[in-house]
Amino acid sequence: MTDTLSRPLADRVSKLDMPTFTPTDYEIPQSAKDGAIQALADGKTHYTNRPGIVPLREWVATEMNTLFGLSIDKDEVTITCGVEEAIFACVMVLAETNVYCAGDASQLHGAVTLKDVPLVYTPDDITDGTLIYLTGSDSQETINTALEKANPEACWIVWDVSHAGAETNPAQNDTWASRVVTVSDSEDVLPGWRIGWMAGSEKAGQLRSFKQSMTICSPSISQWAVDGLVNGE
Amino acid sequence: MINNPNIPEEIRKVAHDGTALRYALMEMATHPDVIALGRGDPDLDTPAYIIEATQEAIRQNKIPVSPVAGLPELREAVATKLKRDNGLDVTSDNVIITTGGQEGLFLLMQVLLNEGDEVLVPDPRYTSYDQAIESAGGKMVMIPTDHEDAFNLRPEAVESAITDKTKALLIVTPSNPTGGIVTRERLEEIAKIAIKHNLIVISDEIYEKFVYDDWEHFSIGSVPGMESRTITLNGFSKAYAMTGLRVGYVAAPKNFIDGMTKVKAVTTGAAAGVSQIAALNAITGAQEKEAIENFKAIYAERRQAMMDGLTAMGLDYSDPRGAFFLWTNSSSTGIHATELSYLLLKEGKVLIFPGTGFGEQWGGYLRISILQSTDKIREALSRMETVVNNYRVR
Repeated sequence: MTDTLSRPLADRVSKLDMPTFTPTDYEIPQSAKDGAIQALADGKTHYTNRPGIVPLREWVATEMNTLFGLSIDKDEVTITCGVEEAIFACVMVLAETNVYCAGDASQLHGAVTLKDVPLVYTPDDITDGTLIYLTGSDSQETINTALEKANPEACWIVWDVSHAGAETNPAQNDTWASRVVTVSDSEDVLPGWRIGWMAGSEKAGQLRSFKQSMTICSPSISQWAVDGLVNGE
Repeated sequence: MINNPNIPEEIRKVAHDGTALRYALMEMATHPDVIALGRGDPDLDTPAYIIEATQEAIRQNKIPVSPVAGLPELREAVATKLKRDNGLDVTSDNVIITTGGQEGLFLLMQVLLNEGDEVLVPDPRYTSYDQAIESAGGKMVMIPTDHEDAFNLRPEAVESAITDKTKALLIVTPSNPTGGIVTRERLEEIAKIAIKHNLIVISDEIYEKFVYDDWEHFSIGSVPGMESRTITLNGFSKAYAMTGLRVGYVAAPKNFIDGMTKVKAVTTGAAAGVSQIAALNAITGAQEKEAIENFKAIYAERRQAMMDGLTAMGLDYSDPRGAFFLWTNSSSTGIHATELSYLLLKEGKVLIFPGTGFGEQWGGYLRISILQSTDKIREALSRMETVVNNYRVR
C-alpha cells in the first residue's frame, strides 16, 4: 500500500501532535482480576448500558456524595473511555466561546483544536460561553478568582480530579452546582484499562449522548474490573 | 409524520432522528417478556477459546498498556488477516486499533473532512454515520438504492451524485440495515468511478463474515489502483460476538493512520489493553474459523425461519444476502413503520426498529434482526402476526 492517501488530510490534523508512548509495568490488583475474570465467565462481553454498568455508576455517585456532600444520582454519571473521552465530550458539548485553564493544559490542546475554540489562560478572558477547566492541583485562590469572573448562568466548569484528588468541589457552591461536571478515571491503579467517568450537571444527558455517538459504551470487561476494584471483597 | 396521539411523546419527539428513535424504543423495551429483534448485538456467547485465553492473560498479569494506535502484535495480526482474507496490500503501519467500529468512523471523518466536503452515503443508512460526518463539518449526500435491486449500489447512481465538493463515498457491505451486499461487479465499476473522480472510498465491512447462500464478500480496496484511496473499516464485535469489548480497526495509507492516531490520542486514547488481548486471541486462535462457521450456520437457520414466517404473514422483504437483518416492506399493513414498531412493542412485546430509524422516508419498512434463538424468532413472528392482524388498515 502507498504511504499517502490520494487526497490531503483535513486541515485540523496538522495542528495535532503525534502521541509518544512509554511502556508501563503494573500489577493488576486481585480484586480487579476477580471482577474481570468473573465477568468473562458470566458472558458479560456484550454492549453494556450505554451510560455504563449500574454498580459502577452507583459507586461514582456515592463517592461524589460522600466526599463532597453532593446529591448526584447514578443517572447523572456516565462511564467513559478514560478521562480523555470525558474531557473531550465536555469541550465538544459545553465550550461555546473558549476554554479557560489555569494550570496544566496538556489534556485540552487536542480537544480545543478539534472544537476550534481558543484556549485561554487568564481569568480576564473568561466570557459568557467559557468552559472553565479546573483540577485538584489548582489553588483555592485560582479557583475563586475564576469563579468570580465567570457568569454562572453562561459558563460551565469541568472539575478534573484524575491526577490530583480534592477535598472540595465547585459543585458544593449552590450557584454553580448544576453547571459542574466532575471527571476522573481509574488509570492510576488500572493503567490502560481505559475507564473514566463524568458526573453531574444539567447537561449530563447531552454529554452521555455525545459519548454514545463516539463509542456507544465503554469496554465491558474493563468496567467490571473497576467494579471489582471498588466494590469487590 | 406521526400524528397518532396514542404514540407516546418520547417516540414522536425523536421520530425525525433515526439514532434517537432507536434508542427511545430500546429504552421502552423494559418488560422481561420482550423479544428483542432490534439492536445488532449478537446474542450468542463469545467463543470459549477467546474467553479462556483472555482469563488466563489476566491471571498471569499479561494485560499491557497499549500505544494509541494499538498493540503492535494485534496490528500485525489484523494486517495478516486483511492480506489473507481481503486481498489488501497492507502492513501493520496501515492499521489502527479503535475503540469499536463506531469510533473508527468518527475518527476517520475527523481526519478526512474539511468544512463543506460531501460524502456520498447509500440510502437507507445506519444513521450513526450522520453525527460522525456532521461533527467533522461534512455533508451527507444520499445515493438511492432500491428493493428490486436488493439494495445493491448502482454505479450510475454514484456517478450522478458527484459534485466538485464530493470527497468520499461510503460503502457498507454487507449492509446495515438492508442485509444487501454490493456485488463484486458493481464494486469494480464503482472503483473505476472513484479513480476517475479522485474519490476516497470508505468501506465498512463489519458484517463481512456473515454472507449467505452463494453470495460472496468482496473488498473494494483489493481492486488495483484503489490502495491509495480506500479506507477499510472493520472490527471484532460482530464476527466474534464481543460488542462490549469495543475493538475495531481501520486500514488505510500510513499518513492517514498517523492522522487518526493523533486524533485518537485526544479523544479516547488507546483501546483498552484487556479488550485488545481478547481481540488478539480471537483473530489468532486455532479455533477461529470453526467458531465463525458455527455462528454462520446458526444465523443461516434463523434467517430461514424469519424468511418463512414473514412470507407466511404476507410481508415482503429484500433478499437478505448478508448481515443480521431482514429489511421488510410493511407498507401492505397500512400502518406507518414508526407506529407499527411501537404497537409491536406495546401489544406484542417484540422490539423491532422502524425503517425510519435508518432514514426518515423509510416509513414503509421495518428492520428485523435475527439475533434471537429460532424458537424465539418463531414466537416473535406469532406475536407480530397477531398485532398486524389487529391493526392492519383494510
